[in-house]
Order: sequence, then structure tokens, then C-alpha cells
Amino acid sequence: MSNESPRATLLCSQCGKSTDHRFVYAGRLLTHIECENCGHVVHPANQADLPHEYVLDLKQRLRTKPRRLARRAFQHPLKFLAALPKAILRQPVKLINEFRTIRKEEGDQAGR
Amino acid sequence: MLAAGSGSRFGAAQSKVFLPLAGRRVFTWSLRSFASVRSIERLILVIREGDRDLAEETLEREIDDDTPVEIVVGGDTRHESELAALRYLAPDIMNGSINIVLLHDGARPIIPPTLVRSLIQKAAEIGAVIPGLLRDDIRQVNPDGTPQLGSPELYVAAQTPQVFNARAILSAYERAAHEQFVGTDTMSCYEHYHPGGGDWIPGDPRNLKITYPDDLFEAEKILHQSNFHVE
Repeated sequence: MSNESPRATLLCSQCGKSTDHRFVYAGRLLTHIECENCGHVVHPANQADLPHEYVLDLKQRLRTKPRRLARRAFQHPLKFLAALPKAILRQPVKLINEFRTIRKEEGDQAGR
Repeated sequence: MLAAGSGSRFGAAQSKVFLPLAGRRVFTWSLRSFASVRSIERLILVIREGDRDLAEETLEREIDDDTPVEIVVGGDTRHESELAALRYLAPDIMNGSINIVLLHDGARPIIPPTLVRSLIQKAAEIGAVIPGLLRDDIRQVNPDGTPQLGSPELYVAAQTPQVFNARAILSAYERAAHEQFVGTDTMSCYEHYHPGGGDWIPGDPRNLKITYPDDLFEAEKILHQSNFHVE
């Protein structure tokens, strides 16, 4: 999945309108959703556990990565090999961005 | 599975069924549930033409090879998308190789396979069934907006998949297309042409529709709690 923050239309519980929202993830975890109309930000109920949840999720991703890679390699070997170098080079940046997102969420929470 | 909803009122955003949710896209969670039900032989994904590449890429990554998913381009409305899917299946419905059709909203990611099996069984018996949750907190209002007094009426909050005898729902939708009738949901169109023919069974509170931002967090929590395997 892309590292960019996806946008989609949901009904905002603050302004009551069906508006575009921005979805911010750290890896597979959704960290917050922001209404682009009124700026209302929604966090998960267990936001204080986010760093811990992230580490647990990261461990699971690492554990299942070989199986997922093998599946893709088996499905489309040539496509997989062609994309592999770029995918490997992308991983450090991806992880750094995820750590930054988690740190930022911690900071935001402390500031609220 | 209906996944042809518009992405954005304002342009650049994607359809909410393609949002990431606990490591997969919203719509593939329920596709996987349907794939685990043995009596379901074909899976049809109804999308917007502009989502085809994303849909194909997502299916390749998130759905097993032994679960082929056929893609159909839907219309501008839910009703048109349902009609497109039914017309796509029409030859097999008419020759009797498809008996039951399930129509599911792709924005409902958590659908327990046990509920799907119960719905199929009930639809095979009576022709049409939806899952629903009893609501005793809804009141009718008068034309001036004031609530009606007396005991609250009992209502059912309709969920999906809505499940039908295939020939009956196809004929209802073809008649609706001819008469330009559009129902509020699949069952309402069916009942318009088969009055009193449908029923409901208790749905599942986890079968929520992603409508508000909180719904996405709730769905993520349910998936985590069930260890990503809802039964």
C-alpha cells in the first residue's frame, strides 16, 4: 500500500457534512482521521497505547513478510523480481516515516 | 459486492471501500468472508471504471488465487450497479446454474460467514431475506416534524448482504428498470414486485457500515479483537 495519506468521503461527526477526510496511518495502524472541511480530528479510543500497538503490529508484519513475499514471487516471478530492488530500498524510508508519525501522535497527545 | 460508490464530492479522493483497514482494503475483508462460504460459487465485484486498476491490483495482493473475483463496472447509483451485476449474471440465472444471489455493500467489511450461511439457507426457503438489527429507539414524526406519541414503533436497521432467489430479484430489477422504479435498498425493490415476500433474520452488530470516521476505528478494533478472523 502507498505511504501517502489517502483521502475519501465520510460523514463528519463535527460539521455534519459529507466531506473529504484525510487518513493517516503508521504501517497498518490508523493513527487519526481529519475532516478537510472543518479540521475535526478523530483519534482511536486507545491512542495512549499507539506506540505499543505499533510495535506489536510491526512484529507481526515482520513475521509474516516472508510468506507474503513468497506468495507474490510465486504469483508473478518476473514482476516480483523487477520490483524487488525498489521495494527493498523503500523500506528504511517507510519505517522512518512510520516512526515519525508515531512520535508526532505522541507529541500531539501530550499537547492536548 | 457493490464497490462502485463515488470517492469524493470534490474530486481527488478515493472510494472509501479502498481505504486501508488493518492491513487490507476495506472491501477485501468481506470478500474473504464470502470466499470462505462453500456454497458461494462466484464472487462479483462491482466497481467504477476508474477504479479498475486499483481493484485488480488489490485483488491480486489480498485475495487468494483459488478465489477468482469477476469485475463488473457499475452505474452512477447503487440501484444501477445492482442491475449491472444482475444483468451480468442473467444468462446463468436463467439457465438455472445460479439459484441465490447475495448483494453486499463493500463498505461493510466485517461479515461473519456464519451469518452468510444462515441468510443463504433462509433465502433458499422463502425467497428473500435481509439481516437486520431491531431498533426500539426510533420514532415516526408527523409532517410538522414533531414526534408521534405512544409506544415507539419497532424498526429493523437493515444490513447487508441482502439475499434473494436469483430469478425473482433479476425479474424485479428488470421490471424496475422498465418502469423507472428505484427502491431505497435491494429488498425494497424486491418487495415492490413481490409484496410481503421478504423476511429478516437477526444481523450482527459487528457488521457496521463505514460512514463516520469512528466506524473505521471500530472496525479496526473488532478485527484486532477477533485476531483478524471473524466467525
